[in-house]
Amino acid sequence: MVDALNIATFKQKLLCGELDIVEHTEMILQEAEKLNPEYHYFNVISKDLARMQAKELQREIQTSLKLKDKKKLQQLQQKKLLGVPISVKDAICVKGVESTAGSRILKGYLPPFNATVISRSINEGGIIIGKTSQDEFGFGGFNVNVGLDYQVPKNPFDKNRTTGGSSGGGSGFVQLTKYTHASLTESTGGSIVEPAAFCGVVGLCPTYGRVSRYGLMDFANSLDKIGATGKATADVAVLLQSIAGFDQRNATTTDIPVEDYPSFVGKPIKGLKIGVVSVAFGEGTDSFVAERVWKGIKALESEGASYEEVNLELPITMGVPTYYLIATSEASTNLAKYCGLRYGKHEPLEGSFNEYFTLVRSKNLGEEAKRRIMLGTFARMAGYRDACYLKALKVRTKMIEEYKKLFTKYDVLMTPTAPIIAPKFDEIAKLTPLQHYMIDIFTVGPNIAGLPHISVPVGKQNGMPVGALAIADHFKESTLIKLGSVLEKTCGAGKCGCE
Amino acid sequence: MPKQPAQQPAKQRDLPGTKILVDEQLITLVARNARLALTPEETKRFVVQFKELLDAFSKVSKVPTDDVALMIHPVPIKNVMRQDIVKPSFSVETALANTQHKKDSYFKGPRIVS
Repeated sequence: MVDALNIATFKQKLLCGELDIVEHTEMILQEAEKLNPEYHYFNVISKDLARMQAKELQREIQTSLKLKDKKKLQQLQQKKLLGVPISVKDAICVKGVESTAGSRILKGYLPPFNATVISRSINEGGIIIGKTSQDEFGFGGFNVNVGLDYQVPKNPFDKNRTTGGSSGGGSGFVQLTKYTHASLTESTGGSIVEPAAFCGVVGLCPTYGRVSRYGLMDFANSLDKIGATGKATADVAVLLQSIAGFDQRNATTTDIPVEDYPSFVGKPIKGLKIGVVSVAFGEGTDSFVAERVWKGIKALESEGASYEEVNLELPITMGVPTYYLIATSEASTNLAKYCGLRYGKHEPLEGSFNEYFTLVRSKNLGEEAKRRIMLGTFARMAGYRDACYLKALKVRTKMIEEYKKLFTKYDVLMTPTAPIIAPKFDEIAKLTPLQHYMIDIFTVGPNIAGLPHISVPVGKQNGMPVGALAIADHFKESTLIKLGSVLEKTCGAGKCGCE
Repeated sequence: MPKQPAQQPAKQRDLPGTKILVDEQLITLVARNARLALTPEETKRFVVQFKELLDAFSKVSKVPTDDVALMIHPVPIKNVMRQDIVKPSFSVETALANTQHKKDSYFKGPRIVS
């Protein structure tokens, strides 16, 4: 068995018979089961589904090779994720596999349908290996806000530290697995890139509307995006290519054509203009984090990019309050459907509707979920709605205008993904909710504005990874893929003076 | 579970930017609207936390937004209509498969009217 081939090489080896899908699938399932008691990356490992999918694909390949059926082999070759194990954030519905968004209130829910990203992944030959750990409904930046009865995932480099959240399970497993694999992750305010940075992997959050949200359990429907996390930008590009595009089941997807993302991997970046958000490298950001990201920017410069320091005002100064006012307002209504009637946790049918609904929610939601529902309820209450929720939506307009103005001059904007390396659990426990929310300071801006962004590892400090964040204009994912693949080549582990 | 007080209209209508009076009464009212029953400890904790959070969030009031349109979605979204044609959907059995409360072909819920 060859360790962690990229998806393109893996596929080639499968099709010439050098690798066996069933064996590869079995190995990664065993690895996931072995790691899980220690690291808690999976809420469910979908062994039966994965084995069934692997056997079916293997049978197709072997039959085609035996019969020398060129047409069928060509069809198989065109499957972008042929035989690739895919882990899935728990908030994304997989038919027949318990899907809870990490919340006890949905315990036992077996979706009767696949999310569009799952249908598309399977159609491209992907093998669904399980549902990954997350903060309950995505409510967190450190993945410590898991639902009641769930366990907190641990950082692959130091088990006393966080994976980051909320897509922590997926990012942690991407880092530790020895096998070819990519993860379907999801971001509302930074939940793809932040755990990617803390776990030393690549995370790409696409433009809002680039990928269907059908089958995603909403946190905040004007902010949620499904994206991809992988060991390298090339793998992330393949997974995004597989899931992107218009979906008639999700009216917020766009019919703008999807670019051929993998073709941008390794393309020269000569002439790329980078706006370096200078405030993100100053007070509040650890000096060694700033230093590592600067080295990444200099490495890009050496490859032909140019940079200038720029000012980014509103997304940095007003990003966190604006984000939390919008996100919690939307969450407070979205979560109303979890009331113990149609799925998930039930209680005996006693009392009035309101008493029953209140009982189910109060017993089965964790504290952060309650806090965010309460914040959102407050922000939408009569007398506060205009000043909180609607005001935040206007500030969002101004933020988008500010970004758009910068994108007339620059192709990408860069900051550290997070101002710190992954903190220890005992440090997180001392934070107030507001201090907890501030970890999102560099990631909420692109999420509020629906802009695509990528986190790429730029080395380590004392054994812990540091991530650089690049943000592009709407639907310019290809620019980020180009940048990411060059950055990891020039500034990855062992390069440009890092550990 | 503690019994919840009857709903009262919010007396405070302060805008962010001015001090919002966060007390147990406000937290209890919000919890009631959110259909959450808080323990006394949770209520006390949320009073402290909401004071800090709402004070920080009130910063948005400083951003001038006169004549600024609000954006519900971050990218322009077209309204999508489809033809009103019946298509195959879940069977009743599938739709009811995840509930413990059902009767015949229906979901069974708690009483709404006393």
